[in-house]
Amino acid sequence: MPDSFVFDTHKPLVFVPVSPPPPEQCVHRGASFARKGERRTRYSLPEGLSSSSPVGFRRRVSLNEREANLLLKMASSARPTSYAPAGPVTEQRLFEEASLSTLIARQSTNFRGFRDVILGGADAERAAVLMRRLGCFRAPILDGASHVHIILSHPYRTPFTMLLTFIGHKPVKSLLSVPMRALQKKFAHKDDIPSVGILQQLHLGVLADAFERGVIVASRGKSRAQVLLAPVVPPHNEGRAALKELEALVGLSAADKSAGWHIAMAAQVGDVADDDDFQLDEETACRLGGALVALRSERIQPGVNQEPVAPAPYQGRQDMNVPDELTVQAGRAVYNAFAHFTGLTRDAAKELVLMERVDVLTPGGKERLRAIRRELEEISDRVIKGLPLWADLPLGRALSKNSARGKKAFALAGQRIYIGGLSRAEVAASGLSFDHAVRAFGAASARAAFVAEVSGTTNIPDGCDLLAGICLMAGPVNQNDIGKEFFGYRDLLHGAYPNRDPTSLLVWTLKAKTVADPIGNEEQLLNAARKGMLVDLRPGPHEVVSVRRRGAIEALRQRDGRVNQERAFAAANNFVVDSDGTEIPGNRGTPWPPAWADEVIFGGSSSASEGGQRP
Amino acid sequence: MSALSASLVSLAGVALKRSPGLKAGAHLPAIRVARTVTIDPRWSRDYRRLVGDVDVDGPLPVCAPQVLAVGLHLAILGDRRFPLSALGVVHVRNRIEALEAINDDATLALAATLSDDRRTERGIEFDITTEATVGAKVVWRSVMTALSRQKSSSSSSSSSGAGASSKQAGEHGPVTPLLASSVVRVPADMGRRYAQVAGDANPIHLTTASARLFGFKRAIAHGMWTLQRSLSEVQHLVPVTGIDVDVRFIRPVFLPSSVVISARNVANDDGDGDGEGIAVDVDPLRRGAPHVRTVVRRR
Repeated sequence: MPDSFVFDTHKPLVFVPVSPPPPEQCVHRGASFARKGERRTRYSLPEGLSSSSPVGFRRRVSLNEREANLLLKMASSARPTSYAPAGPVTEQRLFEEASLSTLIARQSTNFRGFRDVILGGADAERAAVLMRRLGCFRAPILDGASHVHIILSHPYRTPFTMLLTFIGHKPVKSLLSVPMRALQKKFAHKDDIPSVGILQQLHLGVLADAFERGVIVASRGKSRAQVLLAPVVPPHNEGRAALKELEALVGLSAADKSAGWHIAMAAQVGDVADDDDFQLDEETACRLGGALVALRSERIQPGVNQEPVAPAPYQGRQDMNVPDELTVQAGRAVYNAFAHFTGLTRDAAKELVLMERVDVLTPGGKERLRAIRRELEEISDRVIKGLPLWADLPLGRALSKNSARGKKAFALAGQRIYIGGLSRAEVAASGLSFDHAVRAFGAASARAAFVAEVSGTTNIPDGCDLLAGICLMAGPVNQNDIGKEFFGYRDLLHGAYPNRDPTSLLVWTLKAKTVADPIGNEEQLLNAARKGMLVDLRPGPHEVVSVRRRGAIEALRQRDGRVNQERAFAAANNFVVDSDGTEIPGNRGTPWPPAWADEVIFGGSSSASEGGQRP
Repeated sequence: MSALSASLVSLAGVALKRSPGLKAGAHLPAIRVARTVTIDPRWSRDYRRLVGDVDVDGPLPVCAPQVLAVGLHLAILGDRRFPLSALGVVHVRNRIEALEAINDDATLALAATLSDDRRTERGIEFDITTEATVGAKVVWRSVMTALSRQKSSSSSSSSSGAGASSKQAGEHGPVTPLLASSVVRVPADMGRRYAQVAGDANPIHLTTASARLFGFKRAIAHGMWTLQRSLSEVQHLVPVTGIDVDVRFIRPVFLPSSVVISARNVANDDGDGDGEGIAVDVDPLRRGAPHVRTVVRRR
């Protein structure tokens, strides 16, 4: 690693309270089961939950200030510099770690794009040797890790990208150019528009951010993650040989590779000698874990973009605002994290990250928001108009209907909106690869969102679901990118940075409000029967996480015909209930059998004696 | 001969037996049968796997001795002195006293007795008491209550068991918070797989076609499988020995299906769970009448 890389130039993050609205506006979702004969809607409680996801239907945990400060401290903690001798790691610990990272990294809920192979013991040591040989991580590889998560990723492909195949073609040529593009996408993994390729990198950044605090909470403060976020592109032959060996170690087959799977990042985990920073007792760890798995995107601003049929709590505007100081802290988190994950100085990070702020409640902000909406809708209209009829008509106009429906994906609402991006030329000049910078930007965005969410879930008044939420949106950027690629539009950030050739990457919409989004949104992520077109189900551990033991790769929590039914950090007891306390059947879950959960997987042979053990 | 074949032969004997019925005012004879069985650890392993018991080194699951006694129960039903038709007999309740731990390779002296009978609104209920003894010590006891459905009802009725409405049968008293709740998928072939291991090849459990012959729309899961599977699901809450298990089989689990298995503390008169016992419920995933209600109490 060159000496010029500087790590951990964090500015501390400070908790900022969000003021509740006047008491008469303190309302909550209050979803209940549909009564007999009543039609069930996305506002009704689900009848049951059959899912192996560790999440389930959860309410926000109302954090106290001590807990909020602990989480903020985790969001600005330094990278570990060395590991102490590793203690035993139980199966339960690995489950909780995955539950706070790979299984919930929330911008992945619409894209099951990760697989996580966990190596421990001699395999983790070998992986460290190989990763050093790769020579591409721009961060120190540490000795003595108890285990390492090797993250595999594949290109972003959803029904949205399928739709993109049909966009931007000339009327007659489309008969040839559509199949040509479909083939290039399928076999050469080419993206229709650059922002689709960017999404894959953003997702990895979001996961990187989740890993750091996930490891701390799952280990009760004993361990730290060393996240290696730079793209795995070995610069020389020795590195390429090492990559092959690492691929074999994690079971990456030729078939996987031809489907686009590749080693994308790694997270070493080990105990730290000085663990005074985070002394988490069992109860605190459970509350924090329960709080983390309950966080999710908030898209609805009551009284602004709710459906006309939405229940009363969604209909009234709330006299609330996102405090200025909170936006300062969120911005600070962005620069901290960008520097943290790239090895650049904080000043360099501030220079590279481009952000336009839209204060929706001001006249100028309103006008800017209207202009953005107008432009994105224009692009939608041009997309629909240009769809090849030979494809759209036989499908019953499904393509144009879906394009029109996609407008929801960029419906911007919130008191504060930020558009963030990077300049390719400036990134190149800094010595970073663009993919690495985009990943770091994803991590930085997720961390800023997290700061807002911590404030938005601290000291939640009775009768409220939350005080503030956030939605990280790629939809407006994708739509703008379609406009740029096919119709000659300019980047969303061009107005704010006219001389820097910006590439916008994400939009944050911060919302101060007390009503959580409809539970139907969560159900789409958990119930296969109600899964939406543009979302993917929250996976169970056995579907995406595996552990290499005794030379074989085994799915996590799949054994003797059983798969996981445990909800992580269930002791936080934040399960959604009806107004009379009735629970959703199957929602609470059942712990994984203790005989299996307490089994030591890596390091030592004694029974569980540390983080991850059942209360 | 496999357990399944032996079971089919026994069932054929039971089915072909002449059944004159029970005269008004008469009681069933006190039939007693016994056998000694040495448990095969391979059988135990297969049984545990089938019912989701993960404590492979622990004592035998609480329902296992009853499965080992299926042959005795069939012998009673097939006995020429037993006057009722065994076809259509429904398992409605069971009480199990798990007194001592039983090892996987134990030799059990099993004795089953037709111990009691009574007339209810739906027919004649009778009890078969089964005891398992190791040496001179009774280690396990069960009272299985079955219902022989009769065309006409008797005046001396009781509303217990299958006669109770599902709502009444589903109640454990005041509701306490759930301790666990998860969905378990019961595959279509579970009846056949369990029949192989348990030796209970009653046609109502095997296929849709064979179940239809006996008035069921599809094959149904064995009650004792459903009970043990539910106890295994909440194994972290329910000990295996030193307990009494009271179960009511309310509505069959049709195959295949998904059921919700949940557990909560049994409420006391004050409405709070005070450790008197654990209630384990098996319900359909979609709303409807419950399948099984069980209460487990420490002795």
